[in-house]
Amino acid sequence: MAAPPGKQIQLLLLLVVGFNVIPHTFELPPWVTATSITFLLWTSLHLFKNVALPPPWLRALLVACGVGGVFFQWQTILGQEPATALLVYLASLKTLEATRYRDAMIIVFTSYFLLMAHLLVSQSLPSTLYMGLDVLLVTSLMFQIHKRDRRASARSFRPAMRLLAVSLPVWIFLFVAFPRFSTGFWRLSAPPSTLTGFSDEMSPGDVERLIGSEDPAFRVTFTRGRPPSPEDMYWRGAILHVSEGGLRWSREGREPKPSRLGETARRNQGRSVVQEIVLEPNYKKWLFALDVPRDIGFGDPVKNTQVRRRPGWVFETAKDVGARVLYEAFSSSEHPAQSLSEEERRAYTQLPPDVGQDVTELAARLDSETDGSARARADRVLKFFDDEGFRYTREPGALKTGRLSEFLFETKVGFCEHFAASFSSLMRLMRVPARVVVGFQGGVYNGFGRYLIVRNLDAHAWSEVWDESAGHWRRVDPTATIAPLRIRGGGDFNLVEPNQLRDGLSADMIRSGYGRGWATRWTWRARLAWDAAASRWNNFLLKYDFQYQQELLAKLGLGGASRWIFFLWVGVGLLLFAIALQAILRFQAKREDPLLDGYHRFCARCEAAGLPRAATEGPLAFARRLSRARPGQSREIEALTAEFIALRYGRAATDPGETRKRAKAFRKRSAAFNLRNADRRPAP
Amino acid sequence: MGRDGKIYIIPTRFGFVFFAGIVVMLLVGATYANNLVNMLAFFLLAIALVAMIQTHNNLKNVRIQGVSAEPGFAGATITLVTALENAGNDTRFNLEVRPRRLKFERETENLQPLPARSVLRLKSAYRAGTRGRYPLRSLKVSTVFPVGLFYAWTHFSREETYLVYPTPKGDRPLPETELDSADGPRARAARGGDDFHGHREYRPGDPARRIDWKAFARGRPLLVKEFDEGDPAAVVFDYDHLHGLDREARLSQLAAWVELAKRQRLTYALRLPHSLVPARDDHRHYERCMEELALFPKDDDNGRAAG
Repeated sequence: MAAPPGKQIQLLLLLVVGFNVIPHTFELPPWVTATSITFLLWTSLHLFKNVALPPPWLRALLVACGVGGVFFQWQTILGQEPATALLVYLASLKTLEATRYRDAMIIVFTSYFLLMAHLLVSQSLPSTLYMGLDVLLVTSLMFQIHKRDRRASARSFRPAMRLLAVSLPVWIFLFVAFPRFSTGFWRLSAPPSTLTGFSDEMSPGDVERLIGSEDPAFRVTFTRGRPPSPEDMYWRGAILHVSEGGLRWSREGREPKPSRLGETARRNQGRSVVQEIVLEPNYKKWLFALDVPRDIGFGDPVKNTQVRRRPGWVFETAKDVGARVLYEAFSSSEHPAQSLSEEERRAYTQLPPDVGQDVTELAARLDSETDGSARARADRVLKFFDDEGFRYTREPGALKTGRLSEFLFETKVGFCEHFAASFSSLMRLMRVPARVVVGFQGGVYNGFGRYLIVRNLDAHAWSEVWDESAGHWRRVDPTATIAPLRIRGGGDFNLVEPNQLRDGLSADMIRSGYGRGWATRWTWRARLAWDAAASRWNNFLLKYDFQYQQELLAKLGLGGASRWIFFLWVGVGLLLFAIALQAILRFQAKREDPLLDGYHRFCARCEAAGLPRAATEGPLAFARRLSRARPGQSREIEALTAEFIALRYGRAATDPGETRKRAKAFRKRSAAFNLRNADRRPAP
Repeated sequence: MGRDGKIYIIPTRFGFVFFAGIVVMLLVGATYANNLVNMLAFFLLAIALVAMIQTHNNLKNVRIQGVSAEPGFAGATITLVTALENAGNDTRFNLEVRPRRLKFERETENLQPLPARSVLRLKSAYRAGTRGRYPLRSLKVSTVFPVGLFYAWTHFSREETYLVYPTPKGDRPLPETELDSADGPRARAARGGDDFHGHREYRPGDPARRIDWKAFARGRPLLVKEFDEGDPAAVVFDYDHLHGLDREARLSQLAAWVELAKRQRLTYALRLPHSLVPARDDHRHYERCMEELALFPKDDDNGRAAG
């Protein structure tokens, strides 16, 4: 049962550990990766060049060093990262002493846990494919360990292939039917150190240049209602209501409480556009949605309790979003009519005292040229930006003083945050309640999956002003006036041929390689196709939770069940599976060997007639004895025996199909055979 | 013990560890709301369930056609040669045969898979207990194929017995031949004399002095004289002559002598209190002597005498 692994198995073990260490190499501290590779190399040198293995004391020392090192690095060996590091280290070390059966099995089990550790870090489509490959590899290894057959013919692998093939439907059944528990939310490890894109405070004066990655921030599928045109796709994230000196805006301090007739009363109105949003982990709390979101909900009631509604149509979660999440957002195209409380009015016109004399004078001058309505004041400020030649750039360079006046009167170049910040400040100087909204604008449409990809470089900031006469907030995006191409072309508009944008082509057309070579076009199409496949898979993984399972079972007519009924169903399902399998096996057993079955019948008939075959009697000797006892039937007896012997021991037919056919015929003949009693005479 | 050929199955210790691992993965999958980890856990669970059926199937239609036991010395090993028949349509792998109460020592030759509808001789060694003849009673055929998570077994009752010889041990010198010893012929005469028993055909290796040359001269083929008492030139290993030793030590000493005599190609007879194995030169002689020694009555089983 427990054969020590031979050289072939040891090589396979090395291969499996190596394969399972690969995805962790870039996640772990270099010393873990380096030592792990050293151990694996050492093992391969041992296997190929007969280099000596480390003595037991050295191995014990290495184990102690590994545990110590991990403890030194993380101050604990519990937790996802240290545990993974330790697993990688010990699994690699274990290949150096894979001499016993037990060692081989330990390596097999460790490999599965290394795989799980990887799946905790990444749940992408490639990771899924990797999982499939890895399970195939490790299971084949287990099979090879227990096969005890050095030859590796295609025939000897049949059981392994059958094992995996039969597992597949069982696996699907378990995945679909096994009860899920909703434990609420995404618990998570520490965020990666480099995150670009959205930020919930801003100080554009300090930014040398913008670095936005092309990685998706979230993906949106419009499920109901008419999606707005690309120019109007503003994705609301958070509100910055505190101005800290003109260009700096933040959310510090208390949020103004909306009035009773404010947002709370309008919560359920105008939810005309429904979107399904898959948010990539960003280690922040914001739940983005098409402006203006009225409500956000998860399919899962436990998760829903963690959604927090903030003033200003902003939604956040109780914990940081550390894993991909899927939610539904209900948006209206405009802000609802509402009233503004005194507290809100105060908060949204607050300004620091040191805005600067020149800025205050500018605001007063612009204000005097209007009729006093919010709309006219906003238009005047936008006209100011236009007249004074403000320019959009992603590389504005840091301001020397960082003050509003320096941007307004000297540099006059910046990106969306500069414009939104200065615009809102000027509005507040004119005593119009205003705030900065941060989020995303635009997106890339993926025709393969019919969804929109909003990338980190689409991060955007705009303003909202209170329209007193209309009684609602109004979105004003100064960037749209200064750089309409940014709004039409997305965050990477300056990479996508601005000339073509000016010609009136849409950004998506340009990105997809309009007027360019086939290579560009096909690369773009391939990227979108891959993204569509990957995101469809992600959505499936995300959607298939407790709630979805219940809905699915409800569709199958098993709905309304409690969790314990689920367990019952899984049990019943597995039982049915076992019974079906058993029935098939019974049937197969019957079919298994018609030849032997036939001969046993023949013997049984003879035994019934009082001539049992002795345990030591071969078929030929038995036939001779029968013939002597029943001379009348000797021809029949001998013909049957000859056929049996020819099929069983001879090379009656080389073609297995032919053999089988003859064996079945033999069974039929022996079933029809009967030993007559007529000419019974005493046996000699 | 149930009916012959009925297959039983339980998880191995690695099977239990495997299931514990699956439970851990399910918990992790639920805690982190990670469906991919769930998927992995279900994959492993599916593999385990199917492997259970495959382990069971690996014993189906496997029968024992015959067993022969090669005797061994007490404390060493005996060897069982089992003819395993696979009446099924699929190859069987990694089968192990074990008699009840016998500890498995090693496989001397096997490691071959058992193809569909064929017979394979499986040779395995087991640790032998004390001397004597024992019935096999029941043979257990077991397997952990294909992935070592389950252990399936089935029993076959067998009529065969196996023999365990006494351990050859003892440092007494070989006794002298009866011809050389002073009292030899006399002692023999006292017990009924030098009875000529008959002739048998010469076989290479027979001592020249026992050939019936007179008969050969008369034109008959080479014949060898046989005596009831055995060859007068034979060494007689006598139980009663081993003074100062207890029964088992005497048997061990006798076994050691027989073993030595066999190696040195001596002619020897074995005399025990109640029986006598006359000197013969045929190949069964050694086994007959050893069998006598193995079956020498023990104190505790007087009723079950030799044979």
